[in-house]
Formats: sequence, C-alpha cells, structure tokens
Amino acid sequence: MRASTSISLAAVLLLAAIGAGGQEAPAVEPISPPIEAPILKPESAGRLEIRIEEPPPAPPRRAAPRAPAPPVSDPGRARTLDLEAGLAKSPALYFFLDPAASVLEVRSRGLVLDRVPVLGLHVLHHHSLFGSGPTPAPELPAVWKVKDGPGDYAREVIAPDALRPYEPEEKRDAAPEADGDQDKPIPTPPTVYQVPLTNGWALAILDREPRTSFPRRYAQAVRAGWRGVFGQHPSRSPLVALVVSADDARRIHHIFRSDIAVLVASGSEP
Amino acid sequence: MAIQEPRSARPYQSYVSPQVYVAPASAWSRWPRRLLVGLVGLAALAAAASLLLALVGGAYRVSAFPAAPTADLGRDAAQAQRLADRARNRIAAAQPRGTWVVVDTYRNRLRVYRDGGLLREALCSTGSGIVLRDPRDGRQWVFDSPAGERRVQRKVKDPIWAKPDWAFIEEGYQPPPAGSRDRYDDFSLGKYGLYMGDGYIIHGTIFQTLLGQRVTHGCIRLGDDDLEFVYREVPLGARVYLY
Repeated sequence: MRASTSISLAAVLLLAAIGAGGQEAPAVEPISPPIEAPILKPESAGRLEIRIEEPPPAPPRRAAPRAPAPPVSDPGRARTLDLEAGLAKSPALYFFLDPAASVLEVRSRGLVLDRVPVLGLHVLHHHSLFGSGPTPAPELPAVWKVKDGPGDYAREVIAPDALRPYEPEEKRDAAPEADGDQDKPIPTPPTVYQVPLTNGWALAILDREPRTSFPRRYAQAVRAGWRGVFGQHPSRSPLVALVVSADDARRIHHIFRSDIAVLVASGSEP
Repeated sequence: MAIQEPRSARPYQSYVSPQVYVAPASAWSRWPRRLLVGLVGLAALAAAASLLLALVGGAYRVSAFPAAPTADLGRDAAQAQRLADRARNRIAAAQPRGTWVVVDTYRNRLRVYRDGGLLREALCSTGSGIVLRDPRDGRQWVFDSPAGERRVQRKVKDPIWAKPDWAFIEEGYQPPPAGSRDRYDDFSLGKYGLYMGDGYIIHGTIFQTLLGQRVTHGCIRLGDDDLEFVYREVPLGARVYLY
C-alpha cells in the first residue's frame, strides 16, 4: 500500500513535470529569446497620454562626483573604482551592478544613463537532483564580458527578390510607402532570459524569484533529462540571477550585446 | 424395480450448482482488478522513467550572492585610498561637461542635460532594428541606432539628405547612379540636422505620428519644436549617449 502511494506520487510528479513544460519559466532554464506580441500600434504613437504614462527619467547623476570625495578605506570599493576608470576610457556602454545598493545601472564614461532596481540577487549552481557539489562564488569585484547577447536576437529581414529599374517618385503608379512599415508589429522583448558571459558564468535576468522547491527542481530535472535524451544539452553554467521587474527586464534586453562589459562592484559606497 | 436415488446425490448437487452459477460473475469482477494492476504498473514505469530522467538531468540550487570581495585585494587602507583617488580622477576626466544629450532607444526619449540638470525631454523615433538585404549582391544593412557615446560633429540648417543605396532598395528599386539628382532630398530631414558621424543624424521628420516608435534607419527623429531647441542649445562637439 505504501509502495503504491509513493509510485502514484512519482507518477503525479512526472505528469506535473511534463505538463509544466511550456508554462513555467523557471528562471534557471535557458530560454530562447522569443519574439512576441506588438507593443504599440502606429496610430496610437505620439499621443500625449503615452508621455504621461511613462515613469520619470532617471535623475542625471555622476558616478563619481568631482566634489571632495569621501575617503575610501574599503579595498573592494577602491578596486571597483579602478576597474570603472578602465571602462570609462572607452565610449562604449557598460553595466554597473552594485549588490550593496541593489541596483543595475547603464553607464558610459562614468555617467549613469539609466538605473534598474534589483529586487533579488542569487547565485545558482547546477547539481544532480539528490547530490551536492562545490558552489564557487563569482570573483568580486570584477568586469565580466557578455559572450552572446540576447539583444542580438533574430530580426525582421527585408529581402526583395528583385529590384525594378529606378523611377522618380512622381512617375510611380502607387503612392510611396511611409518610412518603415507601419502595419508590422514591433516585437516585445522577453522578461526572462540568459546572458552567457566569457568567464563561463551566465547572467539570468528574471522577472520573479527563482523557484527551487523540490517539486519544481524535480520537474526541471525531468525536463533537462528529457532534452538530453534527444541530444539537446542545455547550458549548465553557473548563474548569477538578477530579479528585476518585467518592464525593466524588457527595457535592458537590447543593451545586452556581445562584448558589453558588466562591472560587478564590491563593498559599499562610502 | 425402481432404482433408488443415492442419498448423498441431492446434497452433492446442491453443493455443486452454486459453484457453477457463480463462476461467470467472478470472471467479470477480475477486470477492474486487472485494470488497476495495469495502471499501477504503468505508473511505476513512468515513475521509474521520470526518476531516471531527473537523475540524468539535474537541477539548479540557489545560494547567496557573496557580500564581501572574493578576489584577493590586500588590506592596506592607505593603498586603497590612493587607488580610489586616482580612479576617481580618471573617471571625472572622462565624464562630459557642459551640455550633453542622452537618447533612450527603448522608450524613444531624447533628453538634454546641462551641468547635470535636465533641460528638456522630447519624444523621438529611433532605429527599427530591421535588416535589409540587397538581392543583387547580398549586401545588408542593420537599421539600429548606435549604442554608446558619439559627438555632434556638424550642425546644418535645412539639411539635404544624400540618399544612400538602401533608401532605394528598401522600396524595391535599383539605386540611381551616384550624383544623380534623384539621390538628393531636401525635405525629409526637416529644418535642422545634427550629424554624429557614420551617417547618423538627429533630424526632423515628415512622419510626426510615428514619434515615440522604433521606425527609423538608425537616425534620431524629433518633432519640429524639439528639434529647434536641440539645434539651438546643443553645441558642436557635445556628447550624445545612446542606449
């Protein structure tokens, strides 16, 4: 009787694992960047209400004020500043992740362009279901580089089959089209995605806390095993999971391009 | 002579006949039991398979993000102070001064700052991200607004757009020869143009209803009033940050 109960439980878990396949977005699974529904219809753009609905812009802020700077006795913070000085030499964008302040900033030349509140920050390691293993911490402070950005996603391609001989606009039969195709929906970026890094780690951007109860992990393990049977081996690299709001996750998606730097700070701002 | 029935025959028959009668009913009652056994067997098989898959698959476990530095940094406070001072000076030297522009290509907003204060925020249009391919030779263009820092290299009133090949290919036409009059367009860019290099321009638009959307070929389009303000207030050499 007892054995049959445990068998039924296992069967239920299996069914849950298979049924949950498309619904869950368990944070820790690699997810291909989807292209989804439209954001705005062209006719609705440019109206005043859109401007009002937007949150206020990030206040302009210098990352390191020129006014008398407070003393820095924290070697971690000093090293962070040194690493940022190296990044500020180039005109490229970079991310600044400050775990102490729970914030992810988009910066260039030390200037804060945008700020994203980080609601949760975790390290995730892949283990066998019942086993455990080493859980090395990421090196801090450090500059990580994005290997393949999800921002380099599949794009809409316009590829005419052939070109007609040129005709001046006034001689063409049909009226010229507006710049850009007004009827095509603009793809919405995803809210859960992974950003592989060159150091073997990956950033997982999530719109909710990672779910790691045993049934969830069991379901995840079954799915991973199932994929393995079919030769699809998902990445098992250790993850740094950043939990942000869904809108913020979409907003920063396109900035994660190959080679963009992510400076991870250590220590607190004096 | 009459044959006498054995005495024991009656009790024997009465014992046997119920057995014969009951037999078909007990055969039917085995089906639910067989079904149950089959289901339990299937469940056991599925459980074993799922366990095997789970053991092969593995899963992620959460641990805390380290609060302290994990790299070896030394503990000399005076050295840390010197390092921090040097780094702050380098960062301060890299930062913009005076007036600068920030373009948010997700929200399609252009902001003008002066000495750290926001002067103006404007609705703009930015790059669509579409890829255009030339069917003749496979050349392709990606209509993204650039990311990172640029500078205003040139400011032009009543700019004329020298239309590149993609402007014709996008409409399905072969580009006219270089220098042709059809290559020049004196109305599409609006009244002012601020050139940022590599063909990227902050300019006006005849498609005012598309402001706030990602529809351009990489340039930044503004409404007439905002464009005039930007032209007037943003000096040559000013830095433009696009993200």
